[in-house]
Order: sequence, then structure tokens, then C-alpha cells
Amino acid sequence: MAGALGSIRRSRGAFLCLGLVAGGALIDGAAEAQPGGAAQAPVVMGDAARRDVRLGADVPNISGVWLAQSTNRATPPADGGSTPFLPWAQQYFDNRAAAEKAGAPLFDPSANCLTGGVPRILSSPYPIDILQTPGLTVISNETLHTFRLIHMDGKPKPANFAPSYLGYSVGHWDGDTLVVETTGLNGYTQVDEEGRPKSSDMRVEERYQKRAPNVLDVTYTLYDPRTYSRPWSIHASFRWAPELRLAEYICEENNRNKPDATGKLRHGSEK
Amino acid sequence: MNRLIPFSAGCIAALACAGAWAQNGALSTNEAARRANEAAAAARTAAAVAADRQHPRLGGFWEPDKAVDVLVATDGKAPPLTPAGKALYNERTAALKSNKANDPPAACLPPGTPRDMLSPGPFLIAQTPAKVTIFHQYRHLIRHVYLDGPLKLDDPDPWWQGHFSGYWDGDVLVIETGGFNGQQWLDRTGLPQSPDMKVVERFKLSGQDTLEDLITIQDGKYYAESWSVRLTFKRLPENLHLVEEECAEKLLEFPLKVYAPGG
Repeated sequence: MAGALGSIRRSRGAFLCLGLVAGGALIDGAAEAQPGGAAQAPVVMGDAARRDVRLGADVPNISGVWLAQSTNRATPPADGGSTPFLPWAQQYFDNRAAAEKAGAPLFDPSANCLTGGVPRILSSPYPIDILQTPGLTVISNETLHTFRLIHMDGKPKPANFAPSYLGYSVGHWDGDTLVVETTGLNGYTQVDEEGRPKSSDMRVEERYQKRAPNVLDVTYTLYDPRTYSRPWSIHASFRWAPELRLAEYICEENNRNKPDATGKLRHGSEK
Repeated sequence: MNRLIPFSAGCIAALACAGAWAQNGALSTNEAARRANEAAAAARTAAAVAADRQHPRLGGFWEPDKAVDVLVATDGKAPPLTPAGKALYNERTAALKSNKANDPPAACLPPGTPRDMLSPGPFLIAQTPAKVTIFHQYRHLIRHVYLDGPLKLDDPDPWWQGHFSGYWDGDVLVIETGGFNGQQWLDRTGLPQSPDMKVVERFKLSGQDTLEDLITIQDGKYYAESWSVRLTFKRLPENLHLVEEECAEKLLEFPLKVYAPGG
């Protein structure tokens, strides 16, 4: 019985190989889904096919689709300490928590089709796509179809850069670690869903490192002396997900929870 | 020629599969299948990288060489609307005149494909062996085009921008798009499209610094025959920055700084 089952599985494997020869096309996930067994795994191209071919082999490869392994509503300091709020920031945070507890949460950009910006975008539960070219590392998010251009040639922020949600990012490789410095952020969004605030003075340093071929760790450190008494860091981890593609994400089709002038949402806790 | 490389990749994959199979009689069939899968993926990756080294470099920053917001067919004739197409178009023309039109982008909804290529402002093309990605400054629209074409649709979710699939035809990058929700306007005058529309775009360099997009619209519900539009783009300097355009800010009833703590 076991033998018979084995031979069926083997013939599925053979079918998969023959299909590749006969098809001969560049098809990601070409194999038909088969019930049971590893034979159903789609044949997907490796990360070498997912970045610009002009990049040298000396540049570490982090291109491809990645999926967050933990998405946190709250991102307190990774060292286990308390968030080093300055007084106004503590008050802001406490007000938000109280409003939410009372069933009347305050305005949140992400409930109004606006990106949470940097760094909150790093705790999104939806897949991201990293793409490396000789001059740029581009990180795009399924969430709200945003993308960040990370300038790898050291091109400085233009003098007339208008503060934005995702800011202006420059990157460089420190050994096997991609270091991204982001400034030019506006202060309209929070660091996390729980509501740790930020100011337009915030500078974010992200350090991306592959812990294993399919695991990408990111530690990001927030420098914002207008909001926090010391820099503090948050940790996130992603798994390589070559079987995923970023889907369409159109928030404006369902954009109904508008705030009043005090920031109180019209529809209570509905998001 | 571009078909031969993938074909030889298939042969390599087959040999790798056969080798893995012969070697691993003692392994579990799952393990053998996994190894065969890995070998096939490695062969396809190598072949795709080798092929892309031969392709023209479409990557970089581009912008329209002139503003186009009304589609004009390549033959100079009006788009061949069917009676149903004409009726919907006339309805939208009348609504535009009385200021009651519902052009989706006015509500921050996506313009659809190929109308995204009429966007004002620059865009970035990133070219890789497995995927070509188009990043528009305009409302940060993104097209992730996997090079697994031609397009095969199997009951797709209806999407605003549609489902993309690309492939190289010699020096031409062909992008096929279908699986729409049918709510899009093809241009600001309200040319219609149905959910069954298929768009075939042929991107090619028509000079070192000129990119051409020959767009063919196939939509039997609203157009009696397929028709085409040609757009051209000029190359911009390397490593520009694309400015964030957050249309959703316009949907707020109060400016953001009303709520912003640390602006």
C-alpha cells in the first residue's frame, strides 16, 4: 500500500519535470497544485532572478517578497525597557489610550487611507517586495501600494524636500547589513497603532540583515529628541515568501471613518 | 531566440530532476520531490538571469514626452465604439457637462490600466529577470509585472488596475492585462471599458532615451474591433526621487495638522 502511494507520488514528480520541458516558459509557480506531498510546491525562481542583473555578486541579495512574522499593535522598546516619552508625548499617548478605552478612539491615518509612514509601515501584516537596482533599493508594501526609494549612491536629501510620510532614505551596506537612514518625515503619523507619537525631527535608522537565506531581520532605531528622552529600538523579522505576489489594495473603496475637527472618529471604534 | 533560452532551462531542469531521482531511490518521495523542485527552480533562475542580460535596459526614470489625457488611436480615427459603448460614453459626456460625473480618480480611486500610463509626472521602471515593476509618482501606483506571460486568467478577482503578466518578444517587453472590475474610464473623456477588456502593451526603446508604449485595447462589449494608442516617454536622469502624492489627504474634512501631535 505504502509502495503504491509512493509510486503515485513519484509519477507526480515526473509529471512536474516533464511539464517544465514541454512548457519551457518563464512561469513562476508553473506546477499545477497537487494534493498532498512536497510535489505540490510551486517551482519559483530564486532571489537572483528578483533583482537587477547589473548588481555585482558582492552586494548581498535581499530582493524578493517578504512576509512579516509578527505584526504588533504596540512596539515598545525591544530591550524591554519602558518607552522614553517626553512629557507631552506621554500625555498624548495616555489620551489616546483613554479615548480608546472609552470606545471613542482618536484619529488614525491608517483608518483614513493614509500610510502609517516610517517606521510604522514596518509592522504591517501584509507582504513587502524588496527590489535592488545599482542605484536604488526599493521597498514596496502591499498595504496602500506605497513604496520607498532608498538611495544607495549617497545622494543627499534635496534642500527643498517637503516632509512626507515615508521621508527621504539613503542606504549603504555595512558588511552584510543594509543600513537605511530616513529623515524628512512629517509628524502626522504614529510609530505604532497604539499611538506612540513622533515629530518631524525624527530620524530612523534601519538595519536589515539576513539571519538565514529565508529570514530577514530588521532592527530600527528612532532618534527623536523632541519626543523621546533617548533613542530606542524596535525589532521585526520577515520570512522570504517567493510564492506570494503583492495583491491590489484599494483603501478608498471603503473610506468611511472620517474624523471630526477634534480627531474623534465619527463611527466610534469601527475601522 | 528568447524562447530558446527558457526551453534549454527546461532541459537542464529535466536532467537535474532525473539525476535527483536516480540518486535518491532511498529518500522519501517527498524529499526527492523537494530536491527536484529546488533543482528546477535553480535552473530556471539561472536561465532567466542569462536571458535578461541580453534584453534592452528599460530600467530607469521616465516621463511623458508630452501630456496626453485624451486617447487618440494610431490610425487617427475615433475609437470604434459599439452601440453599447457609445451609449455609456454619451452618458458620461453629458454627466461631465453637468458636473455630475464620477470619474474614479476624482475620488482617489485608481485610474486603471493603461490609463496609469497617462499619469502626469515621472515613473520608475525596475527591470529584473523574474519581474518588471513600474513605480508611478502619481498616487504611488505600482505595477508588479511577473514575466510569466502570456496572460492566463482563471476566475480572477476583479481589480481596478487588473492582473498583469509580461514576457519578452525579442527586444519588446509585452505586458498583458485583464481581470478588471470594469469601473474604470480609459481617459478623462470617459471612454468605457468592460470587465472583459484585455490590454496588450508593447514597450520598446525607440532610441537610447525614448521609450514607446504601443497599447492595444481589446474589448468586444464596447469596441467593434481592437484599436491602438502609442505613447512615448523620455528618459530622465538616474536616481531621481519620486515625490509622495497622498490623494487621501484630500478626502479628509480637516487638514491633518489639526490632529498631528508632532508636526
